[in-house]
Amino acid sequence: MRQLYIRILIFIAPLLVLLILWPADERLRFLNMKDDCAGHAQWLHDRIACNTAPADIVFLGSSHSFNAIDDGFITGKIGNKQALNLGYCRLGTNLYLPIIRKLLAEKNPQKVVFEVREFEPSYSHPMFPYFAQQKDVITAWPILHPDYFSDLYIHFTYKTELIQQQIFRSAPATKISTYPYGHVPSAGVADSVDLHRKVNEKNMAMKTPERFKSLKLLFPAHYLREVTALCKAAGAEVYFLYLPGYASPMAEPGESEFYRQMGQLLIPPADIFQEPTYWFDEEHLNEKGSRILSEWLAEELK
Amino acid sequence: MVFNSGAFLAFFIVFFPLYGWVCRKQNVTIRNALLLAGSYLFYGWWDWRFLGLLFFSSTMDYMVGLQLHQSKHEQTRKRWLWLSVGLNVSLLGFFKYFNFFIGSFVHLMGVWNIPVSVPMLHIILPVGISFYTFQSLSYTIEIYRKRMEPTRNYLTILAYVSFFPQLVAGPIERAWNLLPQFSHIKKLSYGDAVQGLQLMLWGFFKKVVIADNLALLADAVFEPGASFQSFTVFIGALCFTFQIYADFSGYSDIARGVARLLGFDLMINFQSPYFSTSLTEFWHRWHISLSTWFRDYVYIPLGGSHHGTFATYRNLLLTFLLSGLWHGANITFALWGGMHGLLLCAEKFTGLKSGYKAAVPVVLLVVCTLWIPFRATDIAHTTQLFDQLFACTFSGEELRQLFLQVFPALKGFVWAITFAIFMLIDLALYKCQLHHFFEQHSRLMRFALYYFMLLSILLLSNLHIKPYFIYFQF
Repeated sequence: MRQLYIRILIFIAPLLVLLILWPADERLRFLNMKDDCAGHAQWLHDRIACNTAPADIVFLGSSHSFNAIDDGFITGKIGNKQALNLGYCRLGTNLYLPIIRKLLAEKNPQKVVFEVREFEPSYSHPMFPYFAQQKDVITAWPILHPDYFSDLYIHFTYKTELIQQQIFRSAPATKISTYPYGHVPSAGVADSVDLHRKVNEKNMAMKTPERFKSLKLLFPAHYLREVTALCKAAGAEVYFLYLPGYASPMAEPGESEFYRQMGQLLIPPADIFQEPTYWFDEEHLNEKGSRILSEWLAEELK
Repeated sequence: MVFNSGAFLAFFIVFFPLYGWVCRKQNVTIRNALLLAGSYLFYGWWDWRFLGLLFFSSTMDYMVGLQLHQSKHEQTRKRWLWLSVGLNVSLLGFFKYFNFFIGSFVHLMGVWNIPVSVPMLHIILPVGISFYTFQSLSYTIEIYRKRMEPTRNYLTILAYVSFFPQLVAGPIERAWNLLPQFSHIKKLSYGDAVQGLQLMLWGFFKKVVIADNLALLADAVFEPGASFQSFTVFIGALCFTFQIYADFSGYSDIARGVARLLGFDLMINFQSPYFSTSLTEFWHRWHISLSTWFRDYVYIPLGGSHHGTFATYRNLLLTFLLSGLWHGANITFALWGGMHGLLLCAEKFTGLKSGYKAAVPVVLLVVCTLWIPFRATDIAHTTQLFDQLFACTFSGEELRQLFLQVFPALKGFVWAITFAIFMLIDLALYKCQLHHFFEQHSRLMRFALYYFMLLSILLLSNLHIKPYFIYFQF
């Protein structure tokens, strides 16, 4: 049996080596991601790698960030620094790593602001295997990474698709995006009754037993440490911006001490999160709320 | 769980070494228990709620098998047999045909202007039910015929019915072939392992490279409401012809390969059917496990060809109508089966013999045309497709555009070469099995073929398509 396994491994080794060593086209990688956030991955790549405009103050986070932070407005307010919102939808702290690596390879940010919420999500971002470089997927924590094997599978099947597109030149041609800002405004105001109902449901579900909190933090904490170390090595100041949902019962994030150990924790004025007219839904600020928050952020980050 | 998925890869990577370790202990009970657990996990991955049905069918036939063996009176034995047949067919009938019969009944009443209101139920068709009920029935029928004795080991029957390599899409095994294999542990030789891997590789190649790519063209042509020139419809039908063959035979080969790795021999289900020289020969080479099942348990009990010409034609037609309906609750399947039955009767009537190589393209053309109702969604769609096909219109540009939508130029060229090689290998397999085919070639050539298939899978697979097999819907 052992001989069989060894022979199988030797047999498939050349193809595995080919798959691992084949240099996938970087732009192509960001063009065709399955379940991409409305083509936002392509914009992200183009803004970092193709657009020569600087990125002095960079915001990373989820759709909370790309709805809430008006980087164009902040750039205008501050004047001498270019703000850039690199928020990407859905949650998963590990997505920060491939974005930060890409950002630091191409730009020289002075300040990097990471979105934090009531609690860090303890799961992998569904787009991590698409965004991440091969070595980051392979070396991702297998022990506390619940999606390690599925991320490996997704990463390499996606890479196989990219190889096919490269060889057969079958990827659709797309123009490089030149838009400098990542803010996605949300027009409209949430229905107040619906808002309160959803907030109550969410707050009920938020209670995490104390004994599990440190365990749940292990996976995201690993990535937060890594990205803050990379930022500091590149000379960038690290901030954590608290962006809870509407009417969150928590004035500070659950892991505030942890964030303060690694950087500055920014907590916006509580009234932003209590005023229903600032909200598009229970998780996302609308244009009005975004403007209020961005004014405050511009003052804090000048 | 489907074979060409990450879930199955993860499952098998864990299961196979564990299975090998258990087999080395030479304890049949533990081995069968592991197989049962693995099979239930495999099946339950789709929907765990239907494990109960699988368990019920297996348990019922286990009990009936014992009763059949113990009963001495023919009448009692017949009653037990009919209980098994009735329960299995009822299960199949309810899950697969309830809404079809209700709908047909309401439609018929409507034709006679009799308003009828009968509720349609939202019934999920359990994956593989058509396969495992037939396999389970084979057990009780063979005991009734005294061709085999029942097993007293409950675990063995559970493992036999749920055996995961062939549970959801066959081959539909016969109890006298597969069941005894659960009573002992066959030592896995290196040669067996190689044969198993060859089958799996060939199966994956057919499914992923041939079937899934042809599906892109076939689906476009068979899209309800789509309108194409005759030649395009013909090409679409031809694509489906090879798609269904590569898809289903690919699955069967993977199943046989996996089973071989586990030390089990499953029957051959396809043998180059599209190189047949007559329709009779086609049915000896296509879905062999199902056609022989219907031959042994429907055609022959009806009388076969022993009661005169009229009875022979009647039995043939009935068998093929039922075989068509087995595929699904749609009149188009009955039409497909019925047309095959009629043409087989015509072959018998004219005394047409197999063996003329010139007949191969004719048989292929006939079979290809008959796949149209099989693939169509309903009778109206079938009529529309035949209208388009026999309108005798041609547009090379339409076909070219369709082809380019599906295949970028270079990929299409590479795929066409791959398809040609596939057909050459399939022709070689007309007279021999896969491992014999490989043994005939030098080591260098064998490895060249292996790497050709692996590279094709890597470069020509459509990974963005959700994995599925056509016969899962049956």
